Amino acid sequence: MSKDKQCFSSEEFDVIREIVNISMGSAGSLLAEYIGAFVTLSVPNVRMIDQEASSITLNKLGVEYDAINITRQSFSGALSGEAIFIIDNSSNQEMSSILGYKACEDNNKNINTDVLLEISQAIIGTCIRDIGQGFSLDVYLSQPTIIGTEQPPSKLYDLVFGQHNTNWHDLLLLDIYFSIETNKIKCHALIFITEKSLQKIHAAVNQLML
Amino acid sequence: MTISILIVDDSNFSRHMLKKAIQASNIASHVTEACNGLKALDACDTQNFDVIFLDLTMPEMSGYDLLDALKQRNFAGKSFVVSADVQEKAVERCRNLGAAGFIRKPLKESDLIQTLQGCGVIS
Repeated sequence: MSKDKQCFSSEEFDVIREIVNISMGSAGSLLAEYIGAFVTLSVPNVRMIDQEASSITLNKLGVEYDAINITRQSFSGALSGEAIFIIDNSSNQEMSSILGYKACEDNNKNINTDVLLEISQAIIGTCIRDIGQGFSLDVYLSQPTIIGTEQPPSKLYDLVFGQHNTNWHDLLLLDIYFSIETNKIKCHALIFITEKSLQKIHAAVNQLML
Repeated sequence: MTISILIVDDSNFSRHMLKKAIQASNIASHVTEACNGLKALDACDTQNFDVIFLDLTMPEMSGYDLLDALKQRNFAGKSFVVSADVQEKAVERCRNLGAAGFIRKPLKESDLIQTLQGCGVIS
């Protein structure tokens, strides 16, 4: 951990978790509208992580999936970081079918990248927008990009941090999980907030606690 | 008349915000708090509540399970869900489990008053 790591108290984490919870509710509602099914929401996991912890977290998370498909969406402004969307092949195929897409639009692919980008953008966009609003912090989203399709879960860490793993020490991780049990669909949104935003979040949280 | 209220939410912040809204609305009340469904049922064993506000996504026992348990116990008061999970099917499920109303998070004082007035809890 870096010496100047920004720490949050348990009370402050509680506020952050509640803001994330509200954003998750909006995103889950949107996903439910897309799919026409009930989306099960879990208590979001919010914590500080360093590089070692991020590796353990992503390796554990990968175990839940078969072949995975991943997008990355950067955000900047007072709130800055990277959001990662993860969905496995079978979930992507099920969503494609429900949304009326062909299961396979691209040659030699078993997944539909249009659906991957559309769902990713809807979920990440809603979460980031609501988190920014919750903290009253400006945030600007870039377009999502696909960083891997049909990859083994063991490659998750390399795909997410492969190009960026030397430039940070501590991140605030917001881990949000959605599942649709009737259709066996599951996906993760991982939001990594950079160190430079932590002080602003700290101030926003303390304002909310008044 | 003083209303006996139980607030059930795993978030201390969320409970705090609801208490603030109740106070700001000038609702004469006595408020008890519980951090999950199990603790709420424990509180119901020892006290009578006119109103229960509950979240849906909680560890130990979810809001759905709590609503179900309250229904089994023939809870005589009114239960209101305060949640960010605003899916139509979530609202419908809550209604079927006996919830008298649904208030969206983040909570607005005006939504609180309107919901309680609509159900005849306050005039």
